[in-house]
Amino acid sequence: MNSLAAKKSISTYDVYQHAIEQFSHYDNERYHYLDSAATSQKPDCVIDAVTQGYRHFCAPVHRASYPLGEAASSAYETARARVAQFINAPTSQLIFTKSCTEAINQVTLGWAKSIIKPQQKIWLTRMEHNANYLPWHQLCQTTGAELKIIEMDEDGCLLLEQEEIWHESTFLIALTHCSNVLGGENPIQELCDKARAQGIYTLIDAAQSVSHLPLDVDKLACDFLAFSAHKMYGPEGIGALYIDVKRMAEMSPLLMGGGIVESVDEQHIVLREAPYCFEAGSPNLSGALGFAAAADFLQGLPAAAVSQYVGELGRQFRQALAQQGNVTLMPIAGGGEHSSVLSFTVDGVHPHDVAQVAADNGVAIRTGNHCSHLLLNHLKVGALNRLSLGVYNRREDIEPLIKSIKLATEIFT
Amino acid sequence: MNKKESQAVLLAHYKSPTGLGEIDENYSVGKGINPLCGDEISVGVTLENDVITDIKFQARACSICIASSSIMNQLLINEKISQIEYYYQQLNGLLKDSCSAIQTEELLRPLASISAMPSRHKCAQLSWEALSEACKH
Repeated sequence: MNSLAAKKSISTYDVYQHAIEQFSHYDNERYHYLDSAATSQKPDCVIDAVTQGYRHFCAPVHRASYPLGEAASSAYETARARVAQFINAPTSQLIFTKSCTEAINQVTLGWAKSIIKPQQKIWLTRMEHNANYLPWHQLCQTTGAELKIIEMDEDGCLLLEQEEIWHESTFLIALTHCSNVLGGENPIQELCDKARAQGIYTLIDAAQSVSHLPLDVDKLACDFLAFSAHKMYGPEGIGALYIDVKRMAEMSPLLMGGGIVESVDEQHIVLREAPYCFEAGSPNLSGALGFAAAADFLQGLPAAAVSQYVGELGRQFRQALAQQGNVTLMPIAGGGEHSSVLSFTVDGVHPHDVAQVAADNGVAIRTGNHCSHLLLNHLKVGALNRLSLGVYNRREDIEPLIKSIKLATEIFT
Repeated sequence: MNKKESQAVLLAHYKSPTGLGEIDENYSVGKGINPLCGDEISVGVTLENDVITDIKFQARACSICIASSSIMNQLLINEKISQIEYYYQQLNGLLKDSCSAIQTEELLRPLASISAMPSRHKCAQLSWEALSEACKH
């Protein structure tokens, strides 16, 4: 197929029609869930996979030699392979964590803390979620390293040309691929290419992008990539961290406990090989099965089509919001108009009140600071309304939101 | 009072709040921040022999927070400091269980309409906490 034909088939592929059949519990006639950046709804295949885990594989993982125990271990490792394949990573370089937050803490405390030197710099962007800010802040406080912020322009584009970022004193750049407030997409491939050439380590927070932007860690060649299942249609309570093979050799477990050692005596501990040495405690088997089912669900839809669908729907929401005389839209990370996440304020109506009126009308939008204090301080706002889209959303969700904004304006101004 | 009537009363407080105004150097000031939504409120109080003589507040906050501040103002001026805790406990009882409204001070009762929304409870409590802090200064 030539590229033009491929492009045409993606643009005519009906993501919504293919996806919605998998959300049999989601009543999209009466309810408009616009909070997928917080957590996505779960398709039937994920719910089934989690249930099957408890029904058919209920035995300890990597701890039992009886058949059910072997089956559980095998199912867990198959799930790891499927999630790793989803981001094009070798299976042995993907560890399961309880969340994206824990994955990032594994990097700060299990790796960076032991090798970073005082005065070395860690660069983060202005738009980081606290999950990718507070661990680095704490690390710098305890090690004497310096935390630096990559600023952005008024269009939401990162100012990556500052020479200081690329100075030899820079240890690592940790940034979000897609902002949880501004959506869009940061240029992680360019950034990783440049960082690698300068000997700077990179961590990508892919929590928001993994649901709709294709990820290929082999091509990206980042050192770390963190994400969680529940924002990509998978279950809560499980996340993943991809670790470059050299960094993995330098890393220590964040947690010590059962399942991570070859041998133990009073003087010595010999850890198991990676990835097992990083997963102390009983593994979350049902979570892993649900995670893998979510990866399969997304891979069953053309990746470019999902990205195009939620981005275009976001553009239509943005257009409708812009037509309201009293709505102020925040920029989109990386510029442009296509984004599955949009933040805004309504003049004269507090975001909490907008969200409450929307909730009363069956529209679920988020309000608050979105765990992004650095960004909200920069934007000089205390709170924002945010809508975020999934594959189960459609144009019909726009009008109820606009009606809610009009009603909130009528009530409160 | 049904939910609609309660909401109408809260809205009236929000649109014409009692006590919203400048806090000058004669006031002891307490601050409240709602970490969930970033709301901020400053509450100023003047006292004479443990009696509250005036309350003023300034806020970047939602309608519930403003309405609760206005109700607090109407309830507590010319009352003893100890009454802050008394009414605050009534407010908390109301938020936990809207059925307790019947035994609650009438001015507070409209806030029972948010009892089923725990994420908004802090909005109603914020100014009360700030007032308590102000009285300690």
